[in-house]
Amino acid sequence: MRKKHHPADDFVVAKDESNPYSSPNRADPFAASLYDSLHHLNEMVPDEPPELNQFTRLVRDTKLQERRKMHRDLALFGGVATTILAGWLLGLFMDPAMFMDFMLIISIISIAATPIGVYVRHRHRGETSV
Amino acid sequence: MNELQEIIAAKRGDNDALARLLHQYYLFVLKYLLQVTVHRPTAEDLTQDTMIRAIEKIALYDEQRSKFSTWLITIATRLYLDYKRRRQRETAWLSAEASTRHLKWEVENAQGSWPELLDAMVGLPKQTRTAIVLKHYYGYTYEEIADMVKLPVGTVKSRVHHGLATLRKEWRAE
Repeated sequence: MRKKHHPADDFVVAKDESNPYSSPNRADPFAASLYDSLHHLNEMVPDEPPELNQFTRLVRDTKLQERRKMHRDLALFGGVATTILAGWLLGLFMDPAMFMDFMLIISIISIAATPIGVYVRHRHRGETSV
Repeated sequence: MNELQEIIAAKRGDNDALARLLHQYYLFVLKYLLQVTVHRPTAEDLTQDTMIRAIEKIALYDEQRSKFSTWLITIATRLYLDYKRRRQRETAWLSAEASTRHLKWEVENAQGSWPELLDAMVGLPKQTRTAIVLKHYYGYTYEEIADMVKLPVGTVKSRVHHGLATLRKEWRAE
């Protein structure tokens, strides 16, 4: 199938795969001017990147921070989960009848909420698909 | 070690290989961000953020799907667009001209002149400017750009077309 032509395609810049920077379309003075204007800004960037050891340090520090964050999140999750489970167990042993009633109510609410949730999501999808 | 080997090693957790890759592409990302932001401090900050995001997400990089440079440009583009969205309200009072004044001064001092076309570029909406730089300086396809900015291909084409029309008008007026 022939690709649909778009007016923006008229402005052609040849892509050179071996070079991250494309070559300008010199046949069009505007294209060349746009390319040169953008290239002008490149001259303001230093020729050399920071020392390699700065990147090594950045990699090490970022990974260390990630690991710390993961440990913090795990500890938080563990704490919340333990509190909830402890509450359940306490309720179960202190007043089993009340605990069973509570669980029954929770189950009914969950079952009732499912079709409502599906309906709301379906309605929302219907609105956004237009 | 060639680039692919470096990438595989970096994905397996080799910190030195990842550092070498980022060292190699740092200026490439900085130059791109300077072109889209036209503001040196923002470009430098976003380049640093791009490096950090790349470190965090290196395990998710798929070397079969895109080049490493394209992956970094995608991260940088999304960070820039998010940054602009966040800062929109805070900097509504700051004109585009005011934000580029310092760089303009630096360029004029270093190179003697500031291309007038860059003033027109600064006046374009951020997504249009980004798409034009990606298409007409880096040579990415519309499909690649649409993927980077998370917009339909037709929208990207339309923005590039209108942006170029505006720039061409300004360029003729010069």
